[in-house]
Formats: sequence, C-alpha cells, structure tokens
Amino acid sequence: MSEPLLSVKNLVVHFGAFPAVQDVTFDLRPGETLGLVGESGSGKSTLARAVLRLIPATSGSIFVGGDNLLSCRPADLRRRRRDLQMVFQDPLASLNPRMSVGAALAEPLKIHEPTLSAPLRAARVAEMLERVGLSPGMADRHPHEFSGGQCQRIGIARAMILRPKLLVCDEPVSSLDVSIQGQIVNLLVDLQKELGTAMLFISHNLAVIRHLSHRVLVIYRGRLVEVADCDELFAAPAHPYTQALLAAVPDPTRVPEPLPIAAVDETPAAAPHEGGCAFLGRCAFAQDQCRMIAPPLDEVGVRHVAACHRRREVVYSWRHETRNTRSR
Amino acid sequence: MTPTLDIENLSVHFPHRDGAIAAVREASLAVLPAECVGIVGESGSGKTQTFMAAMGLLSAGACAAGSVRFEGREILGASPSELNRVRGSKLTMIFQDPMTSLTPHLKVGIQLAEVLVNHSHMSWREAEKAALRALERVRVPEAQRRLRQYPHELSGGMRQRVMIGMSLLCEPKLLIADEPTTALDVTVQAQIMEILRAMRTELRMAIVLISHDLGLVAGLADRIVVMYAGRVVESAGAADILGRAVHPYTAELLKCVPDLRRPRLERMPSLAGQAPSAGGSETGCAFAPRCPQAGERCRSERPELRAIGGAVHQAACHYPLPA
Amino acid sequence: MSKGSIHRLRSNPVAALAFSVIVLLIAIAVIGPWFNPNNIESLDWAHVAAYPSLTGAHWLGTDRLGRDLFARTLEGMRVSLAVACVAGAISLSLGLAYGAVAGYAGGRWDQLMMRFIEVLSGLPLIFFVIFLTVIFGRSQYLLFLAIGAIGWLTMARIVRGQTLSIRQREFIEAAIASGAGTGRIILRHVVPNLLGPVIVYATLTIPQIILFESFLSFLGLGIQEPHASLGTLIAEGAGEMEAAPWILLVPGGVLAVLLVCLNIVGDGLRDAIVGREGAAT
Repeated sequence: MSEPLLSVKNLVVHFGAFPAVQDVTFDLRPGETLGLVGESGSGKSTLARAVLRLIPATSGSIFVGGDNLLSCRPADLRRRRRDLQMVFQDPLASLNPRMSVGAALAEPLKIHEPTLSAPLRAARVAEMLERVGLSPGMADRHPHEFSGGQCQRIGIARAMILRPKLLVCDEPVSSLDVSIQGQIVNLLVDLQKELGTAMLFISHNLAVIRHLSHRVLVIYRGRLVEVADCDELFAAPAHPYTQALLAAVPDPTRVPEPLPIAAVDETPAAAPHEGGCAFLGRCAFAQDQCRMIAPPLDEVGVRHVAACHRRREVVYSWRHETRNTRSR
Repeated sequence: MTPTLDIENLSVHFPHRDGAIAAVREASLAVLPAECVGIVGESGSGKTQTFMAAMGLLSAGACAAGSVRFEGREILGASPSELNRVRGSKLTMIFQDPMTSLTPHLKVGIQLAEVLVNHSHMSWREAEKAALRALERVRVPEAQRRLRQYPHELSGGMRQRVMIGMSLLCEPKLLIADEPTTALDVTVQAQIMEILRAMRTELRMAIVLISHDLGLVAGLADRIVVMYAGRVVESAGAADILGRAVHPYTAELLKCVPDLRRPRLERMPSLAGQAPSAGGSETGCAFAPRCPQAGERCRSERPELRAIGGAVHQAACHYPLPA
Repeated sequence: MSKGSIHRLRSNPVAALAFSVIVLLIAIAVIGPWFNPNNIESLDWAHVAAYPSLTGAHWLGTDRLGRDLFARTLEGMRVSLAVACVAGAISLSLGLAYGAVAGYAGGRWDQLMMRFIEVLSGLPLIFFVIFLTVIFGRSQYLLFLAIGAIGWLTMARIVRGQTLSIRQREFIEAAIASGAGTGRIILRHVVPNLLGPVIVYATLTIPQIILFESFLSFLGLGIQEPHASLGTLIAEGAGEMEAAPWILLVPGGVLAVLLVCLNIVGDGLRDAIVGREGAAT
C-alpha cells in the first residue's frame, strides 16, 4: 500500500458563520481517481478549492508529500502548484479571452520552468495540443474561436502540461452536451493512465463519476456521508442521499417514479438540525434517533463507510428494490 | 385534429459579414393538443432557434421564412401586438437560465401577478391570490414567503419552478421548455421533470421539451424529433426512437444515455468530433463527417426526410439502420 | 484589438469619417508648413488683420500683428495635440497602474488608495496649477505634468472598478492555480482585459485635456508667446471678435471640429470593443 499523495485531515471551511465544509478527512493515492459527488451547495467545489488553497481553510490540514499546504509560505506554495492543478467548470470562462491559446499553455512553463528556451517551449505546447486532440496550428487562436468541448481540452492541456501529480476537476463536463461529455472524460482517463496523475473528480452526476472513479466520496452539506469503492457504491449504496442521487439519473427504460426524497430541501443550509442528522428533513428512513444523534461515518462493508444509523437496512432495501423494478 | 403548433418548412437565417448563416433549414414538425414532443440535438442544431422563431423572439436582423401556425392561426411574422395576445398566456416558454428570465429588482410575487393583470385583466389582489396558488401548484415550499422574495434569494431549482408557475398562470395550451434543467443538479432536474409531468396531466397541456439529453427527454415525451445542423433528421414516437432508431445520429445519441444497471463500460460513450456550427454550406449530409457508416453518396447528396416503415416514423438518411 | 472590433469600427461610417477627418487635420498640421510661405512669427505689416483669401498671400488671413493665421493655427493644433497626447499618456499610465493595483489588492490597501484619490479629487485644481506656476514659472513641461496629474484620478477610478470585476472571473483563479505571482497576474491577465474601457475613456479624455489646456492658456497660465496653442489663439481672437472675426473663427472652428471628431471616434471605439465582448461568435 503506497503512501497517500494527498492526505486531508479534519478540513473545515467557514464563510463567515456559514459552515461550507465540516470536518472532512480523506486520502488520495498516487494514480488514483477519487470521485466527489454532491449537489450544488454541498460544499464540493469549496472543498476542491480549499484543497488547492485557492480559498482559505478555517482549520485542518492538507498534507501533500509530507508537508502541510496550509502552513506553506506563499512563495513555496506557488512552487508547489506545479504539482496541484485544476480544470474548471466553465471552459470558456477559465481562459483569458485576450490571450492566445498557445500563450495560455506556455504560461505554466514560463512560471515553473523559466530556463526553458522559446523553441523548446513552443514544442511542448504543440505536443500538448496534439495530445488533447487539437492541432498545433490552433495555438494562435483565441478562446472565443473554439467550441465548449475544445475549450475544455485547452483547459486540460494547460493543467497537464507540467505533468502534475494531482489534478482537481471541478465539474469539467457539466456544461457540455451529453454527446461530448464522454470525449472529455475519456481524454482525462487516457492522460491519467499515461502520466500517472491522481485525480479528484467532482460532479453532481453519478453516471459520469462511475466511468472514471476508483473510489467515491459522497458529500452532503459539507460533510462526507458515504465513502466506498466505485462498484460497491453503485451496487450497494448505504446512505439514503446516495440512493436519491442514483434514482435521479434519468433512465428511459424504466417508467419514471417519484423520487424517494420526501421533500424538496430548500431550507437555508445555515439552519442545521441541531445535534441530529443533517439529512433528516429529506430522509425516507428517518427515525427518532436520527433526530438526536448525528451519525458518524461507520463501516458497512469492505472499505465502505456511511454516516447513517440505518445503513444496513438502507442497502438491503436498495437491493430489494432493484430486483423488482418494472421495465417499459 | 388541428395541431396546437404546426411548423412547416421553417428556415431561419442570421446576417453575417461573410454571408447569411442558416440556423434552421426547412424544419417541419407538429405538436398535437396535450402531446409532449421532445426536441433533441446538440448545441448548434437549431433546436432553440426554431422555437424562438415560433415565439417571435428572434434577435434583430434574423429572418424567418416558412409557416408557424398556433391553433390554426399563422403567427410567424405577426406584429408584436398580435403575438402578445397569445404569448405569455396560451403559448409560453421557459428558458435554461431562470435568473435572466426573471427581473432581478422585482419581487417574485409582483412578477407573477403582473402576468395575470396584463393577460386576464384581474385586479392586483386577485392576481396575488392566483400567484400564491400557482406557486403551491408547482410545490414551492413556504410559497407565501417566496412571493415576497427577490429572484436572487432563491436557488436555481426554485427559480425554475417559479418560471414554470408563471408560465402556467393563464392555463396555456402549449409550454415550450428550452433546456429547463441543463443548469441544475440531477436531483433538482428530476423534480422539475416531475412537475412538468404532473402539470401536463392536470392542465391537459402540450409541451415541447428541448434538450441535448436524449435520456432526459425520453422520460416525458410521446414523440421525439432529432435535429442536426438545422434540419430534422429523425422523427418518431418515443418508444420507436428508443428501440428502433434508424438514423445513425440517433443511434449514437442513444449510446450516450447512461444505464446504471449495466456493468461499467471501459470508455464513456460519446460522439466523435463536434457538431457543425450554424451556417456553412451543405454538400451532402451534414452528419457524414461523424457518421460511422457514411458512404460516398452521403458526402455528395443530401438525404431528404422521408417515411420509414410507417408514416409516423421519418428519417433523413441514405442508409437507415435496419429496424 | 481583435479582428471583429476593427471590422465593426470600419463598418461604422460616422466613426470612420470622423477618424479620417482627424487624420487629415494631423496631416495638414505636420505637412502644412511646407506649403505655406509664411511662418508663425514673421510680422507682415502690409497685411495687418487681413481678410482670409485663398488667392492672396495669407490663406486664412492674419491677426492684429500681421502674423499668418494659417501657420499659427497649424502650430496651435500641433501644440494642443502634443499636450493632449503627452498629458494623456501620463494620466493613462499613472491611472492604469494605480487603479489596477488598488483593484487587485482589494481590502484595506484598496480602501486606502481610494481615499487618497478622493482627497486629491476634492482639491481645487486650478489653484494647484496657479500655485505651481508661481513657484516654477511658466513652462511647457509644467503644463504637461499639471494636466496629466489631474487626468489620472478618474482613470484610476475607472480602472479600479474594472479590475474589481475582472478579479472575480474564473481565468484569474486559473492563473493563480497555475502558480502565477501577483505581478504576472496584473500585467498579463488583468491589464489586457481592461484595455477596452481604458482605450475608450482615454480617447474621450483627450478632448477634455485640450479644453483644459485651452482654458489654462486662455487664462495666461499655459503656452506663452510666440508659441501658440488653440487656446491662446482663441483668447486673442476673442478680443478681435467684432472687427476681425476670422481670428477667432479659424482656431475656434478647428478646435470644435477636432473635439467633435474625437468624441465620435471614442464612442465608435466603445461600440466596437463592447460589441465584441457581447458577441457569441
């Protein structure tokens, strides 16, 4: 078992009084892909940015290769960034509209490998463009001349040109057509195999997560509610929220049924259910103990934990239901 | 039966310095009363512009040719005052980003009431009561409180519900939903789809659901129309599209619909290349560059839309897939 | 500027016309003296306050001292434009640097820097200029400095406002994530995206600067004899309005045309540049 590349311990991020991320702990091994799933407002994007120190964390530690990122000095942090890169949700917005694509790709090289000569730099840029499926002749064009999918390829090229050890992807395909999403996902998987990059892949769509994750973290209101190996999570989800996410993926072969979520959760996140489980208001399995004691992440299978008092029953009911589903 | 919406040979052009860009080319489709028609296509397929033309919402400079009849009456090219008699009341549209559709500085309740005051000539008090009922109908929790809030105080899913509520105020005959859930999470998306389903049954209303997600559309539509590069390439009942699609593009789109029940695939399915942007010349079939079975004829001769195995199922392909 | 912007500017006939007029005026100002046998200083006692005549010795007439008005107007134009460009450049660079740093730094630094600007804006600048003139005497360089020192305040405010909104955009976050330092981000990412509004504002401040210089010269604080600026010429002409109106009308007319054209070009630039930001293709 290799040393974890990234080790996040008890990470807390508060925006003023609002707890966006609460006590999150996880490890990421080299070359592994960790899927992070949750809805808008769950804190997943905040968590990703905090891990890269793009926003300040309130407390906790983020260990990368033995050093705590949160106690690094700014100059040191900037140097380390070559190994911690990010791909953003809006491909066009993440590119400087006034900078040519070639210049955008060359910039990380200029920052971290300043001794590189201009011709060598250009060669690396051309190589990277080809690797992400674009032609090197496109280096002089500007972002607005490309489609959404192409812009995302450029964003990925920019992130990967330094061969980082960790790539954080914040909903990289959510703004793309369904027909194109696979291109980008497959590209990321290929690059990962080739360069051995570890990935933290964030999405609200379980169908996408399934294709590239080794392990999956499910986050709800700033807390991890389930962690499992990918196949295990899809076969035996142990938290009612995970089940709701799975049930929400449209499946044309089934007659659509109302979601198992009891009510719409629009209560402001700052009004927590004091002491009890945060999912209480939406849970079909809720009981009295859920009102009083917040469930910790606890074992429910091999390398599988869930924060639910009734996790074993939750798994059982899912298996039972999938056996009995009607088809069109 | 007179179709609620009948689009015949609609073409939409935008002026450009290098010549006109054709966003929609000779598209024809009909929506029957209380029917749900799904329009599926990638960005640039012309699916949105088709209905922007129908609603008279094309940007300045765009020209639309052809015919669009709503409940038998021609509305393409009608004056704004004529259009406003049906727009917003009997013929409504909701868009992808509700934030830009709602006025940011007016409270939600006022925006809802305004629709009724303008179209149904109600008094403000009656309109406010009707607005409350509308929000309750789309299952907005704490509806009374929401009426007094501003759009930015609501979440994306909530705003979209308000938009749906607003579009249903005058009991429309047709609701056009243009990518209503694309900007939303899957769980919220599922809830919005549920609301549309319920409203359709309750109001006996026709729906046009536009999306790039075939899987999403299939959950609600009775019929599905597939568009590519401004043209209709396949049109059939939803069950036929899902089980017996004959156009290669539709077949490729179907492969992209996720099925969580099946074991995980090695590669995530997708289409190669990208859809052509609006405009450009048409030599042969627009899909030929990306088609896995394109032949010589496909590159030189553009296939016409014709009936394939039954009058209701149409496709534009020289080599339609066997049923 | 992007291709689209230039195209849009060229297809705006009014702006294109105005731009051509400005270019024409500048060309005349530079090349004109070659065609004109008279220079700005020589006094022609035979033709004092002579009426403009294209066939005569003095195309646009002479002033009270017999100096050729055409030559002096061209000189006036050269001087006014030179002041405008130099002072404009000073206020542009100063305002750009100050505003970008304040906007990007944010927080307390931003507050401090903006308060400083507000204090300076509150000072009555004409007294400031008079004060400097009294101490350092009348000098062309002082004029440049004084005008530049005033113009930069509004530029800084505009730049800071733009920087604040650019700072929120995702490509700035991406640059930070790449490991770019603050200097690089401001220079390579913030400033290039500011240029649109900045260029437009700069074009629109040039008329203001010319007017201000004319005003100072009118008051006797700016350009001195025998040199002329459009302002000093107008000041002279004002005195002769009844007897020899052309002494006022020629430089006044040139100034008016110049200002109108600059305003039109500024507006056209703004439409061209903003149009690009809004366009999807």
